[in-house]
Amino acid sequence: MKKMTALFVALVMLLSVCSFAVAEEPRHILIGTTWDMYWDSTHESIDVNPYYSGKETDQMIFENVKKVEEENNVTFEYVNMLYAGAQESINTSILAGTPDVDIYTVGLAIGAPAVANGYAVDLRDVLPADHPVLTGEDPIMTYIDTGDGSVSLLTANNKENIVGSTYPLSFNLQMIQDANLEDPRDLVERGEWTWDKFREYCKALTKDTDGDGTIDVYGFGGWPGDYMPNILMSNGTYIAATATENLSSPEVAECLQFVQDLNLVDGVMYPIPEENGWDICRVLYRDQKVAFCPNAAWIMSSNDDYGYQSGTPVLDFDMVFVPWPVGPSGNAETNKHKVAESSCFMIPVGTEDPELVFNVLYDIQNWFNGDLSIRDDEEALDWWYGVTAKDIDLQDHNFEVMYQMGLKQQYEMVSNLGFELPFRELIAGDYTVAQFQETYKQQVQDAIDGLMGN
Amino acid sequence: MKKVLSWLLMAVMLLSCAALAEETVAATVIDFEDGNFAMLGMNTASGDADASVLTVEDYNGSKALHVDVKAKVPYVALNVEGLLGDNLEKVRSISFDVGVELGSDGKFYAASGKVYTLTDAGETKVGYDWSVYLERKNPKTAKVTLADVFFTNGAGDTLMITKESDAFVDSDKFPGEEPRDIWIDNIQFLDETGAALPLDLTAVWTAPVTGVDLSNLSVLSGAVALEGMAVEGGAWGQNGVEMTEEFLAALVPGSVIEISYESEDGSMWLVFPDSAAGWMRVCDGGKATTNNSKNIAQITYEQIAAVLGEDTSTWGARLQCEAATNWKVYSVKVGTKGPRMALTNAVEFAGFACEGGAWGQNGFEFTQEVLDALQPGTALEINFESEDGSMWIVLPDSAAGWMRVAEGGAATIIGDKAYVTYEQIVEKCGEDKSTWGARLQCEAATNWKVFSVKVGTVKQLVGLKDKVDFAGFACEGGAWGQNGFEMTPEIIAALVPGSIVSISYESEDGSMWIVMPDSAAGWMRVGDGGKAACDGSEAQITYEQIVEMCGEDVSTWGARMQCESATNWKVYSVSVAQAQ
Repeated sequence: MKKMTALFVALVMLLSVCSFAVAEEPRHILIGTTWDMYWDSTHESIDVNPYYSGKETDQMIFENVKKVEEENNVTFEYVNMLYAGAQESINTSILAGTPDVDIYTVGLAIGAPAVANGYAVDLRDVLPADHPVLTGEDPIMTYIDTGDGSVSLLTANNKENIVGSTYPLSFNLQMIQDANLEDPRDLVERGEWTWDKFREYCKALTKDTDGDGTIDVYGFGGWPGDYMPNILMSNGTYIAATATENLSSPEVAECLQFVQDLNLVDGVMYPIPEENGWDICRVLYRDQKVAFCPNAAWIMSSNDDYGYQSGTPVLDFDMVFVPWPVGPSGNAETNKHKVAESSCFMIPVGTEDPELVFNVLYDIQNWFNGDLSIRDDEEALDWWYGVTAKDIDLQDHNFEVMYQMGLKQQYEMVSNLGFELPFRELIAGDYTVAQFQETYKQQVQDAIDGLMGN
Repeated sequence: MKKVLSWLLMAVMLLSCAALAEETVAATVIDFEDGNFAMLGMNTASGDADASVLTVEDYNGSKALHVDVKAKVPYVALNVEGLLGDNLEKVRSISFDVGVELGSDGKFYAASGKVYTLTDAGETKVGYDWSVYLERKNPKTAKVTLADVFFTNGAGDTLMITKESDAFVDSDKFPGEEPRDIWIDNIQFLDETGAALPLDLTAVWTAPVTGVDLSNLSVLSGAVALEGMAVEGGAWGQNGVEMTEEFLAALVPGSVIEISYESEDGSMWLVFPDSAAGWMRVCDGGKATTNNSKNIAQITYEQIAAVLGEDTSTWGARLQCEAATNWKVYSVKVGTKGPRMALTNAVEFAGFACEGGAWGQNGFEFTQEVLDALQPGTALEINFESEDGSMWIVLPDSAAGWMRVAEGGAATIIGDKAYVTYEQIVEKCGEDKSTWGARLQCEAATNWKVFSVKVGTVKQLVGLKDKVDFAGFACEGGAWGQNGFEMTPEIIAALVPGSIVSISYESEDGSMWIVMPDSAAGWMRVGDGGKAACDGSEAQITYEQIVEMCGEDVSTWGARMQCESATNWKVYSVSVAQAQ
């Protein structure tokens, strides 16, 4: 009997150990990418990253791997599938119900069609409704809405991601002051920064300074590709954000009419050259040929306007950033201000326990343990501050404008249609607005269908 | 007896069926089991093409095609016309097994590439992605489905499989290591029902005849070959022959020795073992000019004279070749160096192919297109051969009278092409083209043949020497899109008066120029608007052209040099050199 009891006890112990062992087996999470990412559970040394330069924040990211593993009972690994591989994997393995990886890290060009085709987990079905990521209040992660409201394409909510790819409206401060106009920043503050007001300013600032009968300074000038998405967003609209083209909408018609009128009716827009358009338009402000223009940190950096690279400022005047004025169909509170362009994370449909996968992803992103001052350290963001102004206060202001704009992102495919809508020709009067819409709406629709894989 | 007969009948029927079956069963897959891969080969025509080595080896339990990738993009081309014959037009998809070599650290790295269909005589190129992106799916079966553009049998259509992305190389963790090899197996061509089409595995692929790669080189005129100079040697081993009197006589100032060769590392130079100055190497250490394909080297008279002295009678009897690795030389010749002429915006004189005897004229009526294209700054390019190398044109119906133009050596002859300028015609026949008459004829002092005539704007590309490579400069861009890199100290040092920026490239319309985005003079294009000398594969922009836009002081030209074109473009390499 004793023997029997001993055997029984041993059996129970063995079973317990086995079940314990099974329960403790960490899950291996695969994260598919289209470029090399570091650091993960397979990386034993921080030096595995050939670009590691000893930064303290890199050390924190490396050390966070263990924390993520312990807190979630997982290991995780980045797999560079290359662009073609990620695309093939999404289109085949998710469709087959056995996704190759647990998370895809891809550009919007791959992610958005995947969402449209129902390949991505909608986190509204996974997370509690009041989860801060769903409500847009989370400081660690946010999401890109591709038009259907789903929460499927996640991005890190860091400041660099947010300010990147913003195209604020900029103005020459000295010109505004010389013209005795109220600073547009004050108008923004009071909610009076509208298309009508902007138009008024452009008229006031368009001048023949030497009296020779030729306009020397225009109120506004720029390359349409740099500002049309912002004009659209300022009127609460877009051209290609959903499965159906929106070029033919009345709201877009208002935008097209507005920019055409600035040129043809008001004569306040710098004539866009037929050749070398964007190169010429992106330096107009430097030659003080325009008062207002679309701008971006990368443009000012490439021109080295304020000597960030060389140490010697080129410009002796200030360019101040403001958000784009609000159109008649727009709303200052709800208008978007940046075309979403970030790479994003997507959990594929068919992934086991997507909540765990989300938590792992979230914890990987939160390598700074919630201390935003580490992640968004101003020193690390120095370039973003330094390239747009020489004055520290103005640097702060311009950065804040980019940041606030970046918080309100719009999914928009108009720059990825595979052809350029001839905005220059529209503005020059080669088309009426109605002709323009009628001529190109089907082409836009076909391009959207192609991008969505329809 | 009946039973025996019926058994006999059955046996005969069975044998017939078996024989028939043997006759009708055709291969539907290229599985390389017999070691044959003659139906495919490496196409190295593209500027980024790799000279990969193909073999059949054991892989994953059977024989497979091993593509040993050396540096760039392997283009494995298949003779699909020979393989499929009339069935070529039925091809709707292509499947093949593909595996990727592991990294030198034993880990898997993803790779991807394209399956290209080339149709319309090579004018239409459509690419379909393949990829091997997970270790547990390596090797895998890749399948691409053709969309819209299908093959036409008898039209010279072809198919190429490439490997274009390599996570091993892209990781930057293994500097100096070669890209990963791939294995290809079980290639099938499927029709619209998914059935594998029959294949003729006796098909043989032959490399397309492409123009000789003359990048960086001068064009030789009046060339004299050195007889018997087809020799080979090991690394640092010399081999050669005695120079003939004719060869020595052609070695004069302004001449250049051209060596057609191959060597494992691309190096090649000359040795004069009997020189009065002593046993001498000339242009070793990379000083000889080589083309980008590293199979033609040029060494000028002046480079030799700098080592051996001006007097050729002291150079000794023998001329030898040598390289730092195993080498073979196929020919050596010497001739007068001239620029390469590149025609831009060329208009073909349709159907102009004819021949004539010495001082005999032959030709055709001008087409309106050709007349319209003849503008100031343009020239007629005549692709010809003649016994004495002469060529000119005749306008027999000119209002100014029957007229020879550019005769007596006035035409510029570069290799097998003669150039007669618009201005030379105007000089003889006047500016009013309506008075030039209906016909254009060719003529030479000896028997001649003309293969084609074109009109276009002529650009001259010079032969280069003392090349300094812009390390890592390989990138691409869209139409009017710039891309480039920070100039290295070596490049900045090489940018001196007389230097030339040489760009190895391709673009849809053949245009190419540079952009100096950080110049103190402002964001600057240099060589745009047709000012750069471009031949569709090499563009040359002079130091003086940069000075014109950015000023004399190189230190104000900014940090970066970028490339740009009016259409989609790729740049394979950039260097700064001196004219030969």
